[in-house]
Amino acid sequence: MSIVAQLVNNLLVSKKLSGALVEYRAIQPICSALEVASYKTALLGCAKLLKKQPDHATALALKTLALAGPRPVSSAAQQEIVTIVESVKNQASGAGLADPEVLQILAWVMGGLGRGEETLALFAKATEKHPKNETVSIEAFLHYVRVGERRSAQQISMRMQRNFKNEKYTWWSVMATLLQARDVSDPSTDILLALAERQISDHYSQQRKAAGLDVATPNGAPAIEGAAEGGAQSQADAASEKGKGKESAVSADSAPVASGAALEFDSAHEYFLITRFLELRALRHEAKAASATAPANADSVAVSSTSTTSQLVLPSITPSSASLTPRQAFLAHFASKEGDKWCAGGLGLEIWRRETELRFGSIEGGEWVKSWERLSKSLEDGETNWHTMLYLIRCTFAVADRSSKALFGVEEFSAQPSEEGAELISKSRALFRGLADNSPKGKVERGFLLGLLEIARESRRRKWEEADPLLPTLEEYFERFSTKMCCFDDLLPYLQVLNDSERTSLFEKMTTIAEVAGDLSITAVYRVINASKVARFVATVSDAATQLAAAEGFVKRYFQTLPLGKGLPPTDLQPADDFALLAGQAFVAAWQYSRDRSCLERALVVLEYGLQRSKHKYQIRILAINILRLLGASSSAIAHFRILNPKAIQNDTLSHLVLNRAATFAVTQDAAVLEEAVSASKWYKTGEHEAAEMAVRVFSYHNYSKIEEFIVFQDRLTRSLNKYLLQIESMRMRVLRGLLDPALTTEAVGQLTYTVENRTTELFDNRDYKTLPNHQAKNEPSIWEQTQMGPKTQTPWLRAFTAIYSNFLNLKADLVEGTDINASELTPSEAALLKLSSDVRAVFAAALDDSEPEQNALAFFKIQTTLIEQALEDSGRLPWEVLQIAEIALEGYCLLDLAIEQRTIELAETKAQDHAKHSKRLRNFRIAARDLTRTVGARVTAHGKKVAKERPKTVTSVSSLKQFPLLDDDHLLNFSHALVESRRAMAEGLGAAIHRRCIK
Amino acid sequence: MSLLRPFSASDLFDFNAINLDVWTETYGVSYYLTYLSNWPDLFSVVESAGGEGRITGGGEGGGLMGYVMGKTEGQGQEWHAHVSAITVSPGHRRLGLASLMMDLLEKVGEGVHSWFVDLFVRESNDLAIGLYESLGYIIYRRVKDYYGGGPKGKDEDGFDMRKPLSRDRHQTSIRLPGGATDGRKVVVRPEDVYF
Repeated sequence: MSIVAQLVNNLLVSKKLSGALVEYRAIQPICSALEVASYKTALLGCAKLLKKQPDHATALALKTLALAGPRPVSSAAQQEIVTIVESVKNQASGAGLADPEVLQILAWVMGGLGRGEETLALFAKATEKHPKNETVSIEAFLHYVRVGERRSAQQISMRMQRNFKNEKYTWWSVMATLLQARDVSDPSTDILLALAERQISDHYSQQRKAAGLDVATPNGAPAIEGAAEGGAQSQADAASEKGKGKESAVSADSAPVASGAALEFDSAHEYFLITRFLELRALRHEAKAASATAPANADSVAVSSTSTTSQLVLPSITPSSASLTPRQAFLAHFASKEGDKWCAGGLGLEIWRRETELRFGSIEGGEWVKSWERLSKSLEDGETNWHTMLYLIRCTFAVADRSSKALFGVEEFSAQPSEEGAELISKSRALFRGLADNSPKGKVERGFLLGLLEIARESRRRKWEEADPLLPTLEEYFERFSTKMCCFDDLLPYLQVLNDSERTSLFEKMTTIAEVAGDLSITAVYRVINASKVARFVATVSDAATQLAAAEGFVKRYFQTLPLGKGLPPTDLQPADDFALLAGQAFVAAWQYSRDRSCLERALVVLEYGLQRSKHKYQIRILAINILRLLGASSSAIAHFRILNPKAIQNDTLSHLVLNRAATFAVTQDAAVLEEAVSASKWYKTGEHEAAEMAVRVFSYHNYSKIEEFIVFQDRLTRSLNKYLLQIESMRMRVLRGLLDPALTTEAVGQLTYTVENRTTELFDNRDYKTLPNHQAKNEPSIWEQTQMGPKTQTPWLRAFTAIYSNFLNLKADLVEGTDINASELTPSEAALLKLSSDVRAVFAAALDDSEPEQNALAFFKIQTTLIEQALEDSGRLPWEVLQIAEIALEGYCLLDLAIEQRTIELAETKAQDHAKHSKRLRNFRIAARDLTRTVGARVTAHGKKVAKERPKTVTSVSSLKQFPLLDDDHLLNFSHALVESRRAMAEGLGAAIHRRCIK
Repeated sequence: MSLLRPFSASDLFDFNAINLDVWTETYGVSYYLTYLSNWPDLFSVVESAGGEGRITGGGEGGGLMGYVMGKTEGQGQEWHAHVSAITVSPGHRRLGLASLMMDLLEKVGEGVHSWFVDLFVRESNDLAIGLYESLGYIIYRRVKDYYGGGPKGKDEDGFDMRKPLSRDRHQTSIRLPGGATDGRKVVVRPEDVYF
């Protein structure tokens, strides 16, 4: 169901249920028209209704829906919508604002127009006019959640808690407060946590009273309302004074839980929410202690009301004479009976408990030893979760270090393990060894031996004796599990920490295994593949000849073992697949050393053959896509990408495979790249809408354990780096293809500039680079780094292009020079384009007789000519580089042309002095730029013609593969034809486009 | 060595190695979030050990290897846990991951007092049927034309497989209708299997 259909449906249902049948009948035809997108009919219906009742709020809301129907929404329609919203707000003292469905519709329409601020004002007005209307308040709260206005959400939920006396609003309010307190380094967290603490304690105090349990209200604390208006801070300060001094040593064990036995958390969600509060409180306390100058012990600092639990009333920690620090309270909460109950019921809470005990526990508190005992019992009872093993090992080392800091990224170790720790290490080793060798699961469960490896790795980190030395244990693991496909992945963290001599020794052993002669069974294939992967990773020296020999060896293995998968259905993967992937990576490595492009072409032959036999081996396809783009064969890359068929969230994580620097390939006869960019960009609207609605839903359903998780997800999607990269890339493609609407662009550039300048530090890079596994040596760049076009596009690149587009297309905006952007983030052509965007502004501002700015700007085109000539002459440069230089030259010219047009109009409109002469000067400037661009175009056209004749050359360059009978002449000829055709179409298309663009 | 933990919404950014597999469908965001919101304990993921560092929620940043999504539904003695999807990436099959995930799901099912666990599987998927049988599931009935896109493009029958939980002491949930002895021969229509 479309969103419009949902909105009108909600409206109709509400009218029917409320018995407003006359109104229901009156609006029903309008709603039907809107559902089938008959906007004119809907408008006529609204007009009819409004003629009789000009202030009919429902009709006005429906009218905004009808006006916002046709896309893009015209500026006249936008204006009318704004006027309608204003009239609903103001007429009849805002009576229309009492209808939540009207509010829903208006908010959705305004949101679609990017008028978020006005929508917030609409809700503010609605709740001000109707403070006692619960549904309006709920609607406002949910809207604030939807758009991430957490402060407003907190404020209104506090009012709701006061006005409507419903427990759920307490939790809404606490949750909205905690969502703002996630950055524990921020001092404002104190007041937020104090506020949450007051609400929570008040809630449970009331429960205790109602249950007849003996508890005083916390120190005659003021009502929550007082806290909301600033009272919390003064309470915080007062408590801070009171709580100073060293705490009494109260361990989780001795936490006073008995008297609270009668009080229970209502649900796992409620337990979760309180746990999160206690965690934030403990983290904040620790952050404050760390930033304080004098104290060395976090527990000795009492800095706010959140520093002791004297006021805190919880089912898991009841008031008592003991005063717990936030750290202890958090531990006590988990150690309580309630903690046991809820952790036993959910793996997530149990995992959280383990993390908490490790992070906040201590030798004195005994949490690590207790945790160790609990976890070892689970393992002895047959549990095989790696998390259990990992936390058993981490507790072991926390005891040995007498601190868990080293397990949380701080490189702080004891010189020797503590006596107790050494004993625990020994017990842990014995446990894993026993399980690996004697337990029923020992033969199949990989974790037990990996546990021993993990102990060796942690020991090595600390330079302690490795009781089970790393390398022999690693080799034992390999011997036992080398026939599992994931063996190499399992070992990778341990291979990372081997020293050079261990690497050399392992390399030799693995090479011997990989070179085993004779036919291989399927399990032997996996063993050889794993040995090859390990050998490649630990190799310490290499060169082009070694890599070429390795590549050919993998191709040989590939064809040798391919028959093993002969009878498999086409949907199955071939056991030999990874040999093709390894061959591809070895050829790429050979190219890295030699800069001989034929290595890439040979890689592609093997990868594409592999895909014919194993259509769904996506790792091979991704590598093929990367290589095709390097070779300038974008249409083939897109064809592969379409077979991957990414959907939904994969638009965010995988579209970069073909859309990174996609403008390079945008100027061809077909618009495939642009289509991909448009469809990926469009998805964000759907994805963000769904994420926002789900955030609303978890609040509505009181699933408190999921709220923060969904909010984090929503944030990651809303502020996705890839989303903004796509926006700029789409804009570039439209400029190049002459599809740009200048009026809309100026606004879009303005919005993008605002985002990029103000929020780049908050962007999330969700792009997936892990799906293509790396099989290059540890000391070489990864396969992704080796096969990406230019430096990785990150926020500096985004800032550079936003600056470029703003400088050219948003002439009223300030010049952004981008001088702080490191040139290594850009290709030389891109860096030159950034400079051009500044130089053009100087041209516009120059005096009539000042030609220097023009010469500076025109230098850009001369640079591109030089760059393209250099790239064409150097056989080590790749086709994509030639294309990119030409594309950037064209882009520079197109942008300059658009900017001159805008500037000329401006000059005429403002009747600037000598505007006619300046216009003429700019026309001549454009002509000079055009002529220089044409030179670049001629080079790329000539290049395209040359490419068209490269088929025999390509056949020759891959002819070494003819030694493999399945890669015969026909196969190599077809391959060369397809590659050359794709490259030719791209190069000639770009040449022709420059020619067309520069004809006049 | 497989880290089993609850699936988190942000795992959607990292599940490509599983979802690019031909048999695993990728749905819209709200599909996954609805399951997470309604049945968070029945949505779990297994992650490989090769993570580079600790992240919250039990994850270590290792690659995702497989996940299971389930829900609870039904009334009275039909109250049960249903496995909506279980998938393991091609590189991590035959490692016992499906058993690990099913075991957790069954435990959660026990915790909410379900009578049984059920799931649907293509009749042609012998490998999966064998796996479920080894875990104690039986073919309860055949659901006619339950799956689209079967062999030769035709719709394919599915098997409804069930395993009784401890609450079902008399194993009534797997008693075949009409005294039948082979669930493959008990044919129902897709509309008969909605709860």
